Amino acid sequence: MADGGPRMTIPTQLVLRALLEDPVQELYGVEIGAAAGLPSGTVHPILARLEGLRWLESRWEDIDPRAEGRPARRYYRLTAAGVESARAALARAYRPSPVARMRPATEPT
Amino acid sequence: MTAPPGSLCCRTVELAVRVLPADHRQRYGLEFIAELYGMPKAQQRRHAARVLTSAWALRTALSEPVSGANGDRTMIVKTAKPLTCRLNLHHRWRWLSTEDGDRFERCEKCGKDRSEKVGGSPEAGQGISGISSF
Repeated sequence: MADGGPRMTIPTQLVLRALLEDPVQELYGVEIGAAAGLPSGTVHPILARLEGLRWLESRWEDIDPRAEGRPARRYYRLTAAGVESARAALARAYRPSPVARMRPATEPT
Repeated sequence: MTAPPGSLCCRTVELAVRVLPADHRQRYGLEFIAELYGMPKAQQRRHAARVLTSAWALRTALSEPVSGANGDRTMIVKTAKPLTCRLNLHHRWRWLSTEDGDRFERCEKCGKDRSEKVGGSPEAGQGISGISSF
């Protein structure tokens, strides 16, 4: 974490990729989990870490709970700086497998 | 109108929230309960169980130092000495110099100093002035 970014675990990468699909769209925890293909209820530690880094911002949904029949949800979205940082971190996190790296490039015949 | 979560799910979420730092409990309690609305009962139970099992990870994430405005994290200084240093079994000595040119060794792991004896081997425990030895 020398560059100040989060540990780019596979779940963190999946969450970032899900959020980068549409960076301006706000999603709540369950939707993020579903978009990332992670079990619901497991994404909040990742979201908290990203929010701590200010890659994410969150806000309470602006609804009338009585009219909606449910409490307001907490919505998350990437910040402008978070979009850039997430893209850069995902690009750095991508590493071809050692076998692929060692394989000589094939020349067209 | 969405179905409210069952009491078991609410209690599970309450339990999960209890392990979080006090200033985050209310926010996450409301957030987790709100997420349970609109789910089928079975999914609510699974969701609440996963929230409970990831509560310690969330606590750890929330306890990490808050980043600065430009995203840099505050440096964590580890103060605990390694066991091998505490027992004086093994140190990782590195030669350093004081401002007036005296040479001394310092353990990279615990910060213990040992000064260079004239005509002899370095002696542990004799720190240089101004730097406390452990």
